[in-house]
Amino acid sequence: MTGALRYEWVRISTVRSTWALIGLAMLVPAGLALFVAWLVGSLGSEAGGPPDGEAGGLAGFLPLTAAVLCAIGAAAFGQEYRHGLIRITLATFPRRTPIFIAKVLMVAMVIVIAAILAITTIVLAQALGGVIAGTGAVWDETAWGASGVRAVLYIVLFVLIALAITALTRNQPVGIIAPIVLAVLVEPIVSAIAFVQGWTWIDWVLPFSGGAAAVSTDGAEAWGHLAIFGCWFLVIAIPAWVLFVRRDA
Amino acid sequence: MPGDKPGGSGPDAGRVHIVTILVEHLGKSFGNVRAVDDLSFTVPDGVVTGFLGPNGAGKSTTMRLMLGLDRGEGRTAFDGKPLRDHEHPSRVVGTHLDARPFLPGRTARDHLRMLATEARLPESRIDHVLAMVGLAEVADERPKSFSLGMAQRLGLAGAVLAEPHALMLDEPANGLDPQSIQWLREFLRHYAAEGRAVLVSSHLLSEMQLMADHVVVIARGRLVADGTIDELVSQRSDVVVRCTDPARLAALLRSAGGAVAEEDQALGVVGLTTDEIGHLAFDGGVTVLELATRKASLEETFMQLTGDGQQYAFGEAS
Repeated sequence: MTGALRYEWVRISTVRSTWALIGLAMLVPAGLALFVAWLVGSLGSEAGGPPDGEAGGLAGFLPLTAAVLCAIGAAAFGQEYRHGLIRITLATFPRRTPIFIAKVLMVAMVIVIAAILAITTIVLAQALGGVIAGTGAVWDETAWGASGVRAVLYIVLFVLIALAITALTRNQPVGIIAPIVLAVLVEPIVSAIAFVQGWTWIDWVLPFSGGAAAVSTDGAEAWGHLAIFGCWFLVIAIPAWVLFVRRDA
Repeated sequence: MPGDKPGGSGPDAGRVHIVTILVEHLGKSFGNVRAVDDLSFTVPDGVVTGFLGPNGAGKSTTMRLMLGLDRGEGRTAFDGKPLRDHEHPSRVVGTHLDARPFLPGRTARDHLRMLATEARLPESRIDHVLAMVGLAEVADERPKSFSLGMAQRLGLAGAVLAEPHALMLDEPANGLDPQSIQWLREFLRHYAAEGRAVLVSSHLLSEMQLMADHVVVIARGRLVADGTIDELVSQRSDVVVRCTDPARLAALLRSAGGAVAEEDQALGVVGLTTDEIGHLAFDGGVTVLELATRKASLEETFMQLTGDGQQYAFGEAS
């Protein structure tokens, strides 16, 4: 298992796209957060002070961070199938379960670090936006403590779902696009239909809506949403693992 | 390519291995197509084994089945047990199955660093192998612009990195220039001579005749020959006799157990030696004008063995 973890670390750390995506995940949401904080601060100055919570919300920027980083998850399997490396990997590690687990663990580890860096950058950008707008630094306290932990886990699970979809389909673009399309397009439509029908429970079972709720709510409810989001990862990852072990490389 | 030899300073240097790859009853179907059918053979240590077959014969599928990459029937034992049961598979068998088996954006050195992790090889081994295949100068370049020949060398470097007991190479000479092919031939013969098993698939029969000592020939997924090149070729060689009375000599040879093909002004004889034919002609009063062994080439032998075994065969050339 340690050999598989070392292999995965070298695999993930020796491609430029990993570092480029982590850089993008830090800069793009932070840039947007800076702009929103400045805009809200400026409007607030004119109105006599910033509206509470408007500029300091972290949750709104997390899906963008996760969407950028999910390419790293998709690459774990996608690059190997695309370039035929999977045959070298599986000849080197003929026992397939350890290499599957190593991919999940190593991607999760890298994304934990990337998520912490990205969240820190967003918080700093929001504070800087307030300073530039002349309303002073506004620190988002939800970024620390349990909320911060949920934010990191939300990003990690989002990326791992991309990894699992890629492992299942052996198609990197599908692994990147499917979570984003589900989160941005499919689930809002389903949610809207459910709202009209009065099926309020449906927001609990939709993966990405639940994931978003995990970082925008608090307490036991938030952890419940996160647990369901984690279950969705397992729902996709378990058949992906079974197929990975059984099918031709 | 530099004329360096295998072996060197790796962790297994100097050890003697008795390695044979034992392939038993491999089978694999794709839908209704039987790609590999009850295929059994051995790859002995100490020699280069050529793996021959027409396009679509099932060579690549067989190699993937042997390594457990494809799921199918049968089993393959490396040094007595399946590859998955070895503690360090990369020290058991090195593989080069695809022409460009690397990520275009990862440097050649990093590609090998990744492969080196399983066997915990030192950085010095990577430098050694890169120099051996002549890629030291481009070690830190991304291989997206590598020619096919350079890509093949990087693939070979990955295969021999952990100094495995066996090598399995699928068409490794594709894209190599004549000097590189000669280097590859000498390298593999030397690698095998150190007591290791080398299995090389190729469609370059003339090259295989120079490189391999032992050949396994398949057609439509089935074994059609397994032996040394000399054995296979001699089975399809005959003796040519030109004489004053071909009809009489043919009758004499047939009565002695020979198979005789009557050709233009000559006889082609299988099953009797030149000495036996000479004595029979002398005793029968037939004057022999010419008597010679006609040795079949590997290509002729291959064509006879595989017959109509080529999938998607060409039509007749007009």
